[in-house]
Amino acid sequence: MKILVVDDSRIMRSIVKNTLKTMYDVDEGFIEASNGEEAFTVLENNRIDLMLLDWNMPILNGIDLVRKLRGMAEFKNLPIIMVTSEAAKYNVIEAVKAGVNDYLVKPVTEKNLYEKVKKFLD
Amino acid sequence: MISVRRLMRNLLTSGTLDTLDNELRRRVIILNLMIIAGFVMLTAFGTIALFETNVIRAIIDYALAFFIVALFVAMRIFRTFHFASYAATIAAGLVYLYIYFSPGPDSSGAVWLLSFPVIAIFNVGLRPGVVFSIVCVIVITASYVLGQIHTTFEIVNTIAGRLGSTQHSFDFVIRTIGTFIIIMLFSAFYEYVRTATQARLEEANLDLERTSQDLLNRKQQTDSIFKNVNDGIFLLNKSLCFDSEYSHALEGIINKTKLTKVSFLDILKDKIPEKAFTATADYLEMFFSPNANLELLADINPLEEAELNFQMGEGGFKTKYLEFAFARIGDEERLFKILGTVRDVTPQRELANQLLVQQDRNKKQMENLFQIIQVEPRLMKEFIADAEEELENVNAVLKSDEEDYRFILDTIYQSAHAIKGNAVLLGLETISGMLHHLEDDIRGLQDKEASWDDLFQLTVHLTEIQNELEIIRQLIDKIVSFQSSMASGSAGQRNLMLSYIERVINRLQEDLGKEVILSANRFSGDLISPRYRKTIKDVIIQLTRNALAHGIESPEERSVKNKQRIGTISIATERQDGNLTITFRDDGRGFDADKIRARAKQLAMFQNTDIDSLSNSQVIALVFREGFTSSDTATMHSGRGVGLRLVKNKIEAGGGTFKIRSAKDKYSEFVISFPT
Amino acid sequence: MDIKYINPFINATINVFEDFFKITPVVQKPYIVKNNEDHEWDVSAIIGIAGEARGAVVISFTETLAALLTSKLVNRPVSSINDDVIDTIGEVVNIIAGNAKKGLEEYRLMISLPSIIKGKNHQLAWPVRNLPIVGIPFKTSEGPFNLSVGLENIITV
Repeated sequence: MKILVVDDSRIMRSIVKNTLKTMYDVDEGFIEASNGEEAFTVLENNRIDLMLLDWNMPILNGIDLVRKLRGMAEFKNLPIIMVTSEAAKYNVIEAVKAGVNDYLVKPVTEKNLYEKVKKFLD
Repeated sequence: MISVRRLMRNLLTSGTLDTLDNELRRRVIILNLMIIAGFVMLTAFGTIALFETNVIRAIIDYALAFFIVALFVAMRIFRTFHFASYAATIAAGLVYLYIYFSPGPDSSGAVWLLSFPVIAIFNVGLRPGVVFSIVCVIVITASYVLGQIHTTFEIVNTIAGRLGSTQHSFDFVIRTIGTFIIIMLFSAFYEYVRTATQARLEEANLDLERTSQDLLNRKQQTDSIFKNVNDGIFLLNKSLCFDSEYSHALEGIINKTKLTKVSFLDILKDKIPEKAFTATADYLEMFFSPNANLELLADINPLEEAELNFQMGEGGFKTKYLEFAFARIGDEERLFKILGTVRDVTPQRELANQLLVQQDRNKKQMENLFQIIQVEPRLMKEFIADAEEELENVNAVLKSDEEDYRFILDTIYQSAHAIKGNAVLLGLETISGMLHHLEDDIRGLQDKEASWDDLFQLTVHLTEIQNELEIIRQLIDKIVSFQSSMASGSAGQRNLMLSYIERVINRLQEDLGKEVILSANRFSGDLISPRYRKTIKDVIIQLTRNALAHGIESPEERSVKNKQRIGTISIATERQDGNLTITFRDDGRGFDADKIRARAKQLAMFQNTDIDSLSNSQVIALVFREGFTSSDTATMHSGRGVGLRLVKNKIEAGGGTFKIRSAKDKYSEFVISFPT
Repeated sequence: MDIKYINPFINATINVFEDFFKITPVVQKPYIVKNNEDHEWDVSAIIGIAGEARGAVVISFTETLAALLTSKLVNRPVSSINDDVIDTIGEVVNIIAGNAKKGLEEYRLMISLPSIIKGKNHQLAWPVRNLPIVGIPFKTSEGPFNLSVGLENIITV
């Protein structure tokens, strides 16, 4: 099982990783990327079961990565959870329309993360 | 033509037309047909018999014809159709048997007999008809058998001979019975099939009726729900238009009638902000995607708590707070629809908002009211008038061509300061707080080039202050009219200016921990012409404030200095050489030229002045320069370096002059003169 | 009253005048407006505002300027306030409101279609009693016009 966490903040990535550690043995299957383009390279070379994706990132931001992936046959069904600091629902709608499967609003709590990730991995 | 048909129908149905159920109606028609046909034939036969001079036969025929006519009439009158059927059937059977036995020309009676099963079965139904027919067969068979029997009893032989169809041969009887039974079986079979079909048809019909009644009931239920429910319930098709079925309340909620085929988005347009509108359009569209995550969609509903602003013309709006919920119905993509509900929570939300606004307003009003009722209304009115005059002065500068922003800011500052001083004095905390913020804002602009935007922001604050003053004015007007209705005018009112000054002293001595008395024996308010009233009042109040803040020492300090614990402020008026002179004196610490000199050296504004070379009176004059303050912290009461500068500006603006006399640790005295 | 709601109207006014009439209005010092105070304007357009702030924006013209702007658009001389002038002012203010909308996108605000009031010293019906109102005068080569804004911030749950 492989989880890809895409966020430009190292701290954010480690928070997500540490939270997931309490649920799964993620050391093996935990891959990090700091922007959309990096994430895309990882996706091309690995079989990923779930991607946690930040919205605002340099180079290629989250929403644009989702649009790009959903346009490609091999990533049509990749489960994506958008992690966004924008609590406004209007932005979430944009993300859902682009093709994310679910969303998480920052600050990410252990409980929320657990519940969302569980849905996709079990 | 039509009337003939109607007559026929009337005759054949015994006048019941279509009122009977199908089965009975059919039987009545057959019966009547039989009766009519029977009547015609019997009359004909009777007449023939009469010609043949067979009187008995003629009588019998006529009697039978009469009987069935009676039956016909009885049926019409009493509608005893069952009895008539049986009577007619039995009568027909008896007549046929008689003819059979009689046996008619060439034994033709048997031919008549053959029609009996048809008549019986059609007339009284399958089972009784068959029973009648079988009885008939039995009678025929029995009579033949009886005819062949020769018993030892003569009486029996006689009866049998009379009854027995000795005229018919065995072959004839057998063939007659055979044909009779075949006709009976076919009739029975036909009748069975017919009744069975009829029954099934009726059952189907009944089912159909029940179903349609059920549907009707359900439709009525839905209709009544749609009619009576308070929420808006509606269906949206794929192009997001309303279906024809929606609850009546919906029209009221979204202020539009005849919604069928109207676009939901058109309704929302211009009623919610652009961003919300686009999000809603995207959101609703997602429902029609076959792999939509419905749970997620329920979670991100952008209209969960929507605020719709309906334009009412004349630039007005009616705001409604609506809670929408959406769900997808239909199993097939082709048939997807959105079931929407909307609830109008405007009254609840408005009430909550109103409560908040009201609480805020009440708090302010109570605050104001509490202060206002403690202060003489005349004083309050004067405060409002003065404050409005100040704002008008500011507004005059704003409306003028003046382009020197520094001067404009200064004007605003001084006016704000003057209003604030009085507002603090009267305990109007909301206003004084607002003015305090305004002063802070202007001070924040002291060291930079003020822009139009800065001036704009300040003006906006001024409008808010003006508005607050207006609210207080309305409040005072109410109180004044209330008070004047309560009390008759009080004679010999104390001079308003002195009341004011006493207020300043009372208020400040508490705050500053000082003790001061006012000596005004040589003060006469009558000497002050209305022209100078406001200037003099402002000046004296400012001087009083300064005296308390900086001049008069604390009781402890005064004790140490061997002065009376209680400080004295004295004001006096005097008319001299056509001039009005006001003397303001406090027995405080006086001006300390050395201290002012030292302070001046710290201030950036005097960097380029050689302070040490100035005389003591020149040094004291520095106190009146812009930005000079001897108190390090700006408090609401004084400081801010404007106090004495304001005094100077006010006096000069009013056309007056002033002198200062002072002795360190003894007194300071302002002698102000105005021409009269 | 927050100036972030007002600035889009000021900018839109300047832009629309430049684009449509090739006139560059110069904004003058703002001033305090009292409810129902007398004024010198002949025709005003009022745009209602609702949402997180409530009130109205009013743009007022003299007869001369209103007629001149109209004649520029209809290409024939217009001397007094007639239906053409009313239509023109309505249309211009509508465009100003539309332009201002772009600057207001991030706020929860709705703006109404303008309604026109004419007559010497006409009464303006401000939607809220006791409203702080700020006046923003503009100078143009063809004479002055005026923008007034009265807004109250709404406290909501």
